[in-house]
Amino acid sequence: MSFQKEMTILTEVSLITCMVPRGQGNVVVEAARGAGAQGASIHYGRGAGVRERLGLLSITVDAEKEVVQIMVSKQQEEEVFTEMFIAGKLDTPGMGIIYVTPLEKAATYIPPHVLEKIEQRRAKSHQKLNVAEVLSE
Amino acid sequence: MLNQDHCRPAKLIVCILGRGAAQSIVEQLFDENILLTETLVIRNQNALVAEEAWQEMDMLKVIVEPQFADHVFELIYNLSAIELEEGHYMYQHNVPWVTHFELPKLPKEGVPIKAIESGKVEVEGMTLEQLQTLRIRSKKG
Repeated sequence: MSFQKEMTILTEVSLITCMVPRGQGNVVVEAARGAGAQGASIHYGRGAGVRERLGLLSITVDAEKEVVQIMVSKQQEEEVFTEMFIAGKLDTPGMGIIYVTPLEKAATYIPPHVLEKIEQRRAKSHQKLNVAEVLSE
Repeated sequence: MLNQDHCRPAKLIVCILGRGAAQSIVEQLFDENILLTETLVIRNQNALVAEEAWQEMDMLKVIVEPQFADHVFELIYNLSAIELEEGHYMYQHNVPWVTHFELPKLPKEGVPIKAIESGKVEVEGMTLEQLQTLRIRSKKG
């Protein structure tokens, strides 16, 4: 199968994944958005590991988790990561975990005005532009 | 210890797309050297659409051999119309090791339950060892 359409590929992007107790996902997403993230995806999961080691105290750790995934540019990565860490209170034992996965490439819907901006800058600078950076502006 | 016969590098392609759209894409990927697919239902929020709008969407995960990854990425990109739908996105990254995932070889007409339960009845095209494996799996299940 072959296609003739032009693809707009994002490079220099990372995926931040954060696991928090159920109900905390929105708090983390709000913090990420405040730091410039464009969107987020959440799905549910069940945590294991810490609870088993806590014995009776395991009731204090919610087994049901929310897994938050946010795609950000490399430029935004550290700031969004920090804000999510703080909002999720991830320095508290048993609250969850957050990690970054470097992405090889990504693609998303890019609004026409952003595409236009990219084209204008490309014409001016004659250089390859990082689309993810333009999107995060 | 696992060696390269058991494990190999791969690429993971993840696509966030409209609710119910993942199934038809999986069907069209049937002949594309896919190692594994998985579909989740997620909720997705996108700043470009509306501030507080959460949408129920599909998350399609595809594990593919590295040499086919770019082709599969492009295929999913086009099939899912990523560039046309707000809130849709996809990405690809390396997976250092994946194991082989093979289904047991079963006859087209299926295996009689009696054969699995007893582990003795001969089934055409299956060795006794394969039958025993199925028997262990059915007990675990």
